[in-house]
Formats: sequence, C-alpha cells, structure tokens
Amino acid sequence: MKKWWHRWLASPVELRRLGVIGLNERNGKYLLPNNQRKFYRKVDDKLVTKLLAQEMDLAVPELYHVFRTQGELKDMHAVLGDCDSFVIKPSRGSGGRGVLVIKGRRGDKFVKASGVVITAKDVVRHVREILGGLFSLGGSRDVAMVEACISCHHDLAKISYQGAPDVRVIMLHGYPVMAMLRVATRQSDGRANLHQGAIGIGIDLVTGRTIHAVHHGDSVTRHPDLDTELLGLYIPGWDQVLEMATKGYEMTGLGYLGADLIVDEAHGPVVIELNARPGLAIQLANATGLRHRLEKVEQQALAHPGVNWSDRIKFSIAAFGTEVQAAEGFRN
Amino acid sequence: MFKRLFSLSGLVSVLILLSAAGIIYKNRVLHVPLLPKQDQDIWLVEARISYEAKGEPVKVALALPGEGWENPTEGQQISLGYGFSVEHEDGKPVGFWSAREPKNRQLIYYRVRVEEGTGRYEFQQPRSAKPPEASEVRAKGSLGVALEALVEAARQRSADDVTYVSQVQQLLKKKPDSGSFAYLQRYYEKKYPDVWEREFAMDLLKMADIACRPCLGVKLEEERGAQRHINLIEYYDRAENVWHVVLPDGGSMANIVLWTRARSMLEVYGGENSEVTFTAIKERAPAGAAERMAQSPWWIATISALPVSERAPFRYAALIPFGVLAVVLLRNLVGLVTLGTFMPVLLGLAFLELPMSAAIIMLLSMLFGGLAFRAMLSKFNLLVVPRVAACVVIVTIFMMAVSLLSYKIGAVDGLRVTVFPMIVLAWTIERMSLIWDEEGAISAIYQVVGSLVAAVAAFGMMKIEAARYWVEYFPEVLLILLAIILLLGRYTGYRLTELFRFRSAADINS
Repeated sequence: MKKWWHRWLASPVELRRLGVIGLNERNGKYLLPNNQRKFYRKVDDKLVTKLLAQEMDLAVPELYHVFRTQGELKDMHAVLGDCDSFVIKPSRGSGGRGVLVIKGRRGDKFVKASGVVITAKDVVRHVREILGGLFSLGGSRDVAMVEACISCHHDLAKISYQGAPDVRVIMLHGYPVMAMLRVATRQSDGRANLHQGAIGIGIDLVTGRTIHAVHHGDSVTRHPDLDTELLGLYIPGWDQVLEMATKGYEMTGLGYLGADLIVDEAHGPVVIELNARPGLAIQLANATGLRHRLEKVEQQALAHPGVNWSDRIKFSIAAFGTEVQAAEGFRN
Repeated sequence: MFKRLFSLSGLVSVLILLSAAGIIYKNRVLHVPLLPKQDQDIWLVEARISYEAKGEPVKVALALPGEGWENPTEGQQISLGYGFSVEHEDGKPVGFWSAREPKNRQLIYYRVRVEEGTGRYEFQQPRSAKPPEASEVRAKGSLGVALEALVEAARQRSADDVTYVSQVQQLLKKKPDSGSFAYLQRYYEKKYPDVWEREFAMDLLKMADIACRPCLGVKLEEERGAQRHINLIEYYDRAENVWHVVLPDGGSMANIVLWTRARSMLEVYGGENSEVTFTAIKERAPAGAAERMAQSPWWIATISALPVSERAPFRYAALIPFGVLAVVLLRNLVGLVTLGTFMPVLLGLAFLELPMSAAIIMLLSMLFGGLAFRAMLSKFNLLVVPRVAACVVIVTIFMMAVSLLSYKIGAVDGLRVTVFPMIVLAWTIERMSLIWDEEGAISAIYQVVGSLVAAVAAFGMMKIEAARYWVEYFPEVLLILLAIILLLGRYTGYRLTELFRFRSAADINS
C-alpha cells in the first residue's frame, strides 16, 4: 500500500517493522554501551591502527615512512627514493581529507591519481600542511604517513570512477553483521562517502556477491558515470575480507565497529582503516534494516561470550545469509 | 527499553518530586502565582553602596526615598555587621549605617519596591512656610552678560514660571550654535564636570528669580543594569505655590522616579572611593509574594535572596537551559544539522537583545563577509589557529563597520552588534568554510539555515514570558528541564529527518 507521502517520508511504524535503526538508536543502544572511549585512539589514529594490525598479522598497505616534524622534510627525496607510486595521508584525518595519491612520475614531477601533474615542492607543502594540522579535527598537530599505493583489483576498479572502491564490514561484538562496497562517482570526486555522492552496494555475507545498490538514497543497478553493471559481482577474496574485518574486534576491543578494506590486485584484501562510528547508510545499500541482525548478535554474544573469530563468522554466515536476507529485505 | 530506563527513572522521579515540592510550597504557602500577572508593574529598585574602609569607625548616610511616589513601601537593607537606623533631616528620610572597624571593600544594599505610574513630581509648598526665594547668582563680566542675554531671551518668550523653565530646558536640549552659548557651556562644563547642565539651568532659573534646588532620581529601566542616579531639578512655581520636579533638559520623566529631594545622595565618613549605583528590575510576581519569598530561607528564596544587582544577570543566564533544551529537541528528535552544537543558543541569546530581523541581517552579513575573507585566506594555506585568529580580527573589524555604518544611517540596532559572540562567529565561519570545501555550498548553506532555525527556536524558548518568570520565582523548573533532557538522552527512536533519509525503505509492499 504505497501512500502519496511515501515519496517524501517513511512512517516510523514502517521503519520499525523493517528494522531500520536511526542515529539515536545506534548511539544509545550499540555505540555508547559497547565502545569504550579509551579504545577510540586505536581507530582514530591511523598510524596506531596500522601498527596494531601488523601485530595481528593483518595485511595493511606497506608503511614507507612517517614524517613527524617539519625538519624531516628535507630528507623527502631520500625517503621517496625512486618510489613510483605512494599515498601520503594524515594520521588523524577523517572523511578522506588530506589524502594525496601519487600514481607515477614524469621526470622530476609526480602524477596524481586524477592525472594532474604536481612538483616535488607541492608534495612537500602537502606534508607540511598535514603536520600543521590542516586536516585533523580541531587543528591539532598531526603526523604524515607515506605508504604503498594499493592497486585495486580489476574486478572492482572497473565499477568505480577514479578512487579505489572499499569494502566496509560492520560488526557487533566481533560478529560481522552487514557489509557493503562503496564506489566513487564523478560527483563524489574519488571519495567513498555516500552522502558526497558515492554509490553504496550491499554485499551478501556468505558469498561476497553484490546484491543491491543505492545512489543518493535511490536504488540503481548501473554506475551513473561508467554504465557498468553493479550487481552480481563477487568480491575477490571474500573469506579473507571477513576474516580480517572480524579480527578487528580482537585488535581494538570496540563492540560496535566498522572495518574498511581494499582488495589489492596482487596481495588481496588489506585493512585501510577502522571506524568506531560507522554510519547507517549500509542499511539502504543492503535494502535491509540492521536491527534484527544486531539483536540476534546481542543475544548470541550474551549467551556465548568469548567465541573466536572463525566461529563468529560461521554464526553470522548461518544467520545472515542470502536466504535470510531475501526474507528480511525490503526489496526483491 | 524500560529495563534500561530503570536506573535513570529513579533519578528522574527524584528530580521531578523535588521540583514539584518546591513549586507547590511556593504556590500554596507563599502564594506566588504559577503564571506571571501582567496587570501590575512593580519595580524593585536597589541602591548599592560600595567604599573602601580605612580601618576606622565608619558612618554611611544614604538619602532614602520618601515622597517620590504614592504609598511608599518600607525598604530593606542588606549589610553585614552594621548598625542601621533611619533619621529625618528636614523631614527627609536618611538611612545611617555605622560600624566600628570594617575592613577592605565594603558593600551595603538598600532596596524598595515601586509601583509603576505612581511617581510624584509635584509638591505643595506648605502654606504656613514663607515662600522660598531664589538665591543670588554671582556672575560678573562677560559671563554675566552672556547669562543675562539668555535670561532675557527666555523671558521674552515666556508668560510665567512654567513656560520660562521650559524655555530654559529647550535651550539646553538644542544647545544652539551661538558663540555665547558655547562659551557658557565651556564655562559650566569646566566648573561642574558631571552636572553642568543642572547647574547651568539652575543659574538661569535663579536669575529669573525662580527658586530651585537639585534633587536626585532613578531611572526604571532593566536594560541599563547598574546605573548612577539621575540629576533632577525642582523649581518653585510662584503662581501655583508648588514645587515641580523636572529634568534640566526637559526630557520625559515617564520612567524616572524621584529618589530624594535632598541635595546629596551619599555621604561616607571613615571610608574612601565611595559610590552608590542603582539597579532596577521589574518584579514579575505580586509584591507581597515576592517579599515573602525574598525573606524565606535561601533554598526557597534562591535567586530572590540575592541583591538585585547580582540577581539581574541570573534572570538572563538561567534562561540558557531553555535554549539548550530547544537545541536538544531539534538535534535529537528532528535531526537538524547545526554548525557547532550549542552555537545556536549563543545566537539565540544575542537575538534576545536585538530585534530579530536586524539580528539575522547582521549575522548573515558578518558570516558571509567573513566567509569571503576566509576564502581569500585559504590561498595562503595558513595553519588552523592563526587562521581562526585572523577570522576573529576580521569579525571584530566587521562589527565596527556594521556599528559605524548603522550609526551613520541612523539605524540604532546596528550599534549593538557586539552582542554577538565574536569567537563563536569566527569558529562558525571556519567550520562553514570547511564544509563548503568538502561537501559543497548546498551542504554549508543547509547547515547555516539549520543553525539559524535552531537559534530562532532557542530564542523562542527563552523569550517565553512564562519561562522567564519561572526561572526567577520557580527555579525548580530547571530540575524538570534536567529530567526532560536526561530522558531525551535515552531516546532511541527515529529523528524526523531520518524518516526522509530512509524513505526508500518504505517502497515495499507489505
């Protein structure tokens, strides 16, 4: 029974029945009770995250160097050596701000992912800005990380307009609950944030197949810029993706956690960052509300504490597979 | 959900019970009405005497109000360690405070209630007394000539004492551009720095044989805050046999009450740097109830127990929780996005002081002006703190510009542009420009509009007459507010904007 106002609004009753959760519910029921503030540092500082991940033997983009003071900048050439491609990012930036992706060199100059050519001086200035806190919250001083540039798996690269698509897995108590692939569009300018115009594509937890996609809140099946098919794709190395994301719980101790990974052409999935406040757009991407799943996991975690990662994945796969998804989803 | 609420519900019920107990007690026992009564206006006027004690015996004399208005109520004095008595000098009441060895800075308060519209500005000269005579003015040489000329001109244009006085008042109001007036003005300004208008007017009256003497008044105006007394003149109208109280420049006496007909307001023996200031606030509760409340124990009286001058800022500050509640409602129930969590409350406070339209125009012009400047700065890649600091400087300059501009075009509202919190504006500009860069103009403007809506809502909450009344006489209401905010902190339902955000979810058929 579609009413005229459904074009504008969903009623709270409908949303509740569909199990969609809002920000108040996420914060009040899942985030605040399960995420201890002292652990936030582990995910808010990408350098710390990387070191922790390496301790757990999780694959991460190789760290070439960390610039901590302005004085180190004169060693820039020595540090970069003849490295062709690399990424410079602020350790505590958010929302993809301050990330400089260099794809190659042209003589003395550097070629950005977008094809724009910049000079070594520009690169130095960028690092200087990162150190000065231009991209970190509140303008506090930061460090700049230089790391290997991931060459995204070709299956995924072909559906993204610049910028590597990343996989986000949301976990509660270390149980994977829902996953999506985020691909950039011309509008999102290489970034993977849905509210900036990126596409969110829901992923079946069992098979790693893409099942549903949204762009600006509306269902789509093809990429608006590239016109490639978005659905029915299999994420390469899906089992590994789930395993690595799930271990993020052991790594951080955060009960409500999002893990962002990119699948590298040669090395398979690598952890890019972890997020203690993952957003809710994943529900639209999967055409499924989070509540039923979160409640199931809550019960399971209460009944069986201290389950290891592989058993947690088994539970999630059994509970949230495609058949379940088809039954609880809000669209076919 | 109810289980989670349980621990909180205890606290919430305690808060509500405490608050209800206070409200019921005040309403039933002290008869403080639950809602403000509009039909009467009672002013609470407080004199605050301060001086430095020198460590010797001190005697403080303050002229007390007596004849200034109909049915004068008895005043209340608040002081620590002083003996207090009221004596009459020439029939005029004077309060005396004395103490053996007070030390350091001393404060004494004296307050009375005045019903608006009962001020008296005319006093019959007793028939038995001999009619007063004007004292002689000693003015020689060019000074005398100049004064004579003014007296003569005023006399020409007047018929009796009253019209003569109004001629003098007009002269002082208009301050004509003539050389002789300017000369006299300089003379009196030099001789009587603070009260030259009064002395000038009195000399002109005396030279026309009109008896007159200075007296002192207080302005009934909440916005003024702590004020000095107003210098008044009373002159003797020979035709009517009455004394009239007027302002030297003939301004309206509508909200001025005569505090004393005595010549001097305050005298302090044994202290130095003495000063008396007045604070007038409108009492929103009936006089009797307010009186009873002020005399109750402090936990009942709360801010009514404070001296008026300290109470005035509270009437303002205690409104902030109402504004904060509005912001909580808008953010967590509606899902409005604002720049900075409580920035709208600060804007709302600014709106309280200015007409809304003027405030919004000023705010937007400063925001967008600042934003344009900030866009210019972004070329230099400045670090954050210097960048925001630069914005603060620019906002300050803009404020001056707005003030000057509105002064030049005669828009008085613009003069009060400083009510906007500068630092908050600078941070708002900074955040707005970041959002502009990252998420585009639409997102930035959306958030500015959101902030404005929240500011207007906060303003609306704080503007409610009942809210202002409650925080003053039933501050227990703040406990209820606290309870509501605590409960809202546990609200896990949808925000209004999420119904829109997840609208496509409802596309299904069921």
